[in-house]
Amino acid sequence: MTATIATTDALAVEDLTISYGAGIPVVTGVDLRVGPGEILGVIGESGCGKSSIGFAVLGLLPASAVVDADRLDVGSHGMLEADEADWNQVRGRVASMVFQEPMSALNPCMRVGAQIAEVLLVHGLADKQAAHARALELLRMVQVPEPELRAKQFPHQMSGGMRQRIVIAMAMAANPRLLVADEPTTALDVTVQAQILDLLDRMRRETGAGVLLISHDLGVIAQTCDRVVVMYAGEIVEEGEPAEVLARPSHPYTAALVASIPTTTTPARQDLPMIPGGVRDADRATAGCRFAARCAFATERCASPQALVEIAPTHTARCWRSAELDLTTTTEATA
Amino acid sequence: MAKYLAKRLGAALLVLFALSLLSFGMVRLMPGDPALQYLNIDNPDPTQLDQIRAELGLDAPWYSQYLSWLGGVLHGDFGQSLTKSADIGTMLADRFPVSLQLAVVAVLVGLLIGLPSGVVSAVRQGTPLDAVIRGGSFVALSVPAFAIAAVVIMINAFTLKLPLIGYTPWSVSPISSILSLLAPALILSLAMSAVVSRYSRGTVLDTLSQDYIRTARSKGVPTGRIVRGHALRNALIPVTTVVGIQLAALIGGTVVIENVFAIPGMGSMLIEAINSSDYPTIQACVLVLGACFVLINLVVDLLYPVIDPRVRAS
Ligand SMILES: Nc1ncnc2c1ncn2[C@@H]1O[C@H](COP(=O)(O)OP(=O)(O)O)[C@@H](O)[C@H]1O
Ligand code: SF4
Ligand SMILES: [Mg+2]
Repeated sequence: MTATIATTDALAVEDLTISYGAGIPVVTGVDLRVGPGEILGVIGESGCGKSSIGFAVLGLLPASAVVDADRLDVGSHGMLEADEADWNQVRGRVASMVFQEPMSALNPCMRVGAQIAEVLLVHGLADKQAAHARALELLRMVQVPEPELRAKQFPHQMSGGMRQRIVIAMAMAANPRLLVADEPTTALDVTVQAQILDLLDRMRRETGAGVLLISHDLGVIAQTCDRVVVMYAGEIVEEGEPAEVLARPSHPYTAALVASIPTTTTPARQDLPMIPGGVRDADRATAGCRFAARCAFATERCASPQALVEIAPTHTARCWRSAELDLTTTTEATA
Repeated sequence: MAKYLAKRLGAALLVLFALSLLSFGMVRLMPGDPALQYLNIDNPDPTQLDQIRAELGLDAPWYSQYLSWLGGVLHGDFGQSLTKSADIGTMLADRFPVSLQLAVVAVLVGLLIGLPSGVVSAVRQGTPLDAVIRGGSFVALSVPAFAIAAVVIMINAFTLKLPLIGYTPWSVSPISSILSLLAPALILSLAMSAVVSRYSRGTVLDTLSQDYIRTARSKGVPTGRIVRGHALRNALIPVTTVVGIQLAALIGGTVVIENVFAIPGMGSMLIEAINSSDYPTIQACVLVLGACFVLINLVVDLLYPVIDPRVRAS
């Protein structure tokens, strides 16, 4: 079954700013575009605002959050002025979400088949019987063995990987245009991680849905995405195709991320802090480079406001010194 | 699952056995000579007292007294009242249904007030309605039932003069029988309503902040359907335990309320027996009330796997 691939973008966001209460914005000036069938990766260390973006795109932020943007188009729906009822039309049908924690993302008291079918029932896309049949079809699609049996089971009777498949089946039930996957493999074993990424890749090919894949793991992003956005302290610092960004990182932060990817010669060392220090509120508030406090190449110039500049036709970076620095070989990019 | 059932049943039987020993031993430790009470005359003749003791079986060692009592109870024979010329089993058969009716009405009223108010309070968290419900449950919890009962009866006596006191038997008319218990049941259930309301408010709020509620929202499920379809069931599972505990507490409450409202149930039977040192009747009442307690807890335990699929599996 292949859905007709629409030509409009799955997601178009311009100048997105998010803050919680009266605090310093945790996301500023973010532009994102996800084409149909495309996977856009968003990467950055914990706390840089990735999940906030993911939730904002589905209108799932808590009431305390303040969202401001010039544009927030989900599929062909402009959601800037949307109220809860508008969002309920879009969520699940036009855009849906896969979460980080498959263990807690499913209702423990509801059979998984019913949880999948609910998407179709809520949006009036099928009657009970058709929704149940479609749930079985979806379970087959996400390669859950014995779908008839599994549909009748409760979440606690399944492994984490299996539950994540259920969540993906649920997210794909109504053939959405956009799928937001927030760290979908972080809680899973390495072998299961690869299977889930394969599944997401297959889903977007088969259905033409665009995917916003959020991760803190550049390995995951490099392996799956068509384009990648690197975030630091709430703003985009580099954007491009993964091969290009990996080969020619043009922001010292990206370079440090790339250097931390395990290779065949250097094993993964998760205990090793990638870059010394962390993001302070002051870094988010500064007008200049937010990475300056941790950057080995910082100069006086770095304190003035900067923009994303073009490195190559599909590659941009936000660093005053990107033209003069050669970061490709520098694994000790930072002090 | 079968193991879970067997374990619960075994525990219940053990508690019942301990309870029979306790109720038997308790009355024997109370001051006062039952034979003296039985004769009910000043300066009785010692030989006459010995004769009574033999008649009542009080001269036998305690364990053989216990065994013969227990044997009778197991056959439905609770013995004779010391002070009334009546069979205790017959009295229980008269009185128990009245108390049961009072308790059932009280529980229904308690759930009917407690559950919806708790859920509404949670869903409308922070609104004036929430404040009113929380204030109400605070008051209901801080004032004891007998005090409320006394005040209600007094005010009624001066104003509305409704027939609040007394009991219309079921056989006269079921409807007026239930109506005659409404006021005491309402007062009896106040504490339960308050506890259930507060507790279910907490569990609903807790449930609404769970990840799977966000998942449901991400599917486009509207708020009302989220509360009904996803939050309620998960939130009510832990409430079952609290209802069980409250129900047990309610047994104690009936003893007081029945006396205040002159309802001829087991509570007033027990108080009458205590006042006249009618030890076989006290023993029987304590045993039956305690057995109800055990039964309620057993039912709650057995209900858990029915409503929570996670318990069912393990
Ligand atoms: N509900 C919230 N209330 C207040 N601050 C929040 C809330 N959620 C996230 N934040 C803050 O926003 C920032 C970004 O968080 P998040 O979007 O979760 O980042 P990431 O997903 O990249 O780890 C963090 O500093 C975090 O503390
Ligand atoms: S702008 Fe300056 S401080 Fe910021 S990353 Fe580039 S070199 Fe480092
Ligand atoms: Mg996150």
